[in-house]
Amino acid sequence: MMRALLHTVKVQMGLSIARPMFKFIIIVNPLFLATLAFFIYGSSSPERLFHYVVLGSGFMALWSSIVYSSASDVQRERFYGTLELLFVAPVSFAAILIGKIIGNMVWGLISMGIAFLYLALLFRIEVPAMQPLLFFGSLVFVLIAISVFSFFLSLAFTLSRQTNALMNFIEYPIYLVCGFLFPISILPDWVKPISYLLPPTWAIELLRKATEANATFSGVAMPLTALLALVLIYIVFGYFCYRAVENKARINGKLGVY
Amino acid sequence: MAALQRFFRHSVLSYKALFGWLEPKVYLFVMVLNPLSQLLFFAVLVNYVYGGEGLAGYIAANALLLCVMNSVFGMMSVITSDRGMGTLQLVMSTPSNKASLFISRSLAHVVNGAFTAVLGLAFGILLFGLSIPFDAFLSLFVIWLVSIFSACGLGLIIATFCLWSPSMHLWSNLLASLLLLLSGANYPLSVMPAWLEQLAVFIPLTRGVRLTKDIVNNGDYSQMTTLLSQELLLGCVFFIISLLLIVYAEYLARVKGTMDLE
Repeated sequence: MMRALLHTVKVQMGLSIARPMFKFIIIVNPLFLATLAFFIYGSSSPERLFHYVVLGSGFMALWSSIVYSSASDVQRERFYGTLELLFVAPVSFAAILIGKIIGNMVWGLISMGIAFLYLALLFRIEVPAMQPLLFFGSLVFVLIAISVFSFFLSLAFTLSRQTNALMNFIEYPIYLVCGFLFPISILPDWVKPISYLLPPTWAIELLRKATEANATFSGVAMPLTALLALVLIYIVFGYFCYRAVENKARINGKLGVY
Repeated sequence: MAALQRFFRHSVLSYKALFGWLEPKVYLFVMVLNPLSQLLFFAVLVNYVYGGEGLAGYIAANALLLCVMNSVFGMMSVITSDRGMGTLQLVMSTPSNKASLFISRSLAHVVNGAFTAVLGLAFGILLFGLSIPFDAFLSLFVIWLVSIFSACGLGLIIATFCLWSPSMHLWSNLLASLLLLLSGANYPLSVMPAWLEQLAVFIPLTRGVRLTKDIVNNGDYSQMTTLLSQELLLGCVFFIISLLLIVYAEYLARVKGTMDLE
């Protein structure tokens, strides 16, 4: 199982980056997003620049890599005509899907890194003094949380017949509702509950808290707890979506058709 | 007269056939909800960063930017949809005039782009309670039509790449990102480095965005004639280049055998 998972990660990374559009999403898009965010926030304080330009555009890059990869990978296999083969392979389909998500997440992390280096080197954005353990610990947890959310999205999109339309649609609403480039406190009250139910909201909040001046473990406790709770909820959602896809495939026999 | 009727009939037919009109749900997601969510995102962002200063101008400028869906992705479909359906070789080998054929196909996207932009502006006005003087609407509409025409010209240039390049999603997204970045819809152009500002002069929508902000925020029409003439000229140049490129790309496609390349 572990060997299949690691091999899937390797194959997925190669297959994804072979697509010109994905190359654009990973390498060029972060530069556009970072420049756009920097031009908008240009004269703000260093801390605000780091929280909303560096972390915000980095997270937008990560999200784009998820939207154009993990969320649509099952649909892509369907298009290639290989979905049925993956589904009946001796290795669990869930393991293959997780391998794909990890592969894409590595590319997403590289994309975040490109945005960060570009802003730090070209626009000379100051990086605040931070506690490495707190920041990198938070980052690892954020990546796990986003992976779980991607697993759910990937299967939920598989159940829909409109994967492409949804894939093109969800990019900006998530930027907006999850507060990638501004605090969610400025959103209308009726939107906030939706924000709180989405892991990216707490993920970026956790990274902001972890990079604040004098950040402490108790300071990140709130977003960390909320994110942990959401991870557990989305694991349950993901499980049910997985069962639904499996049932649909076995009962209706339509896995590779629509 | 018959030729003119044929021109418009072709415009409507190609739009219906090639632009996903046959699937209204996809159209609603991609052409209505996606642009509106983009507008809302940038409206909330600039409202937060600039504290509401010049908000009406920013929202109107972002509404104009929504035409990118048509002027880039729509224009791309003018050629790529035929390739996807295996009919591109028939279209390219038809004896009819290619210039008239592609301009008629572009027309529907100029109109659709204007419709999306107007929809975006109405959405912004209703949501943020903006007040724009009534007499500004007609001027804005003319400015937007010319700007969208110009953007569609550049879109058609990129669309011709599909005769020899398999990476059309890359080209179209690159152009869409460039338009968003260089038009200055979300910041004053002066925040950009001088060389980017110079580059923006040759990009469609930059003048449209500037005029939109001037009119909506300050009621300033002084630059309208000059900038609008420049934008119209730019659009005509783009269309002429694209028609020349179609001839060249057609030649390349024949030599390389890449016309049906997917």
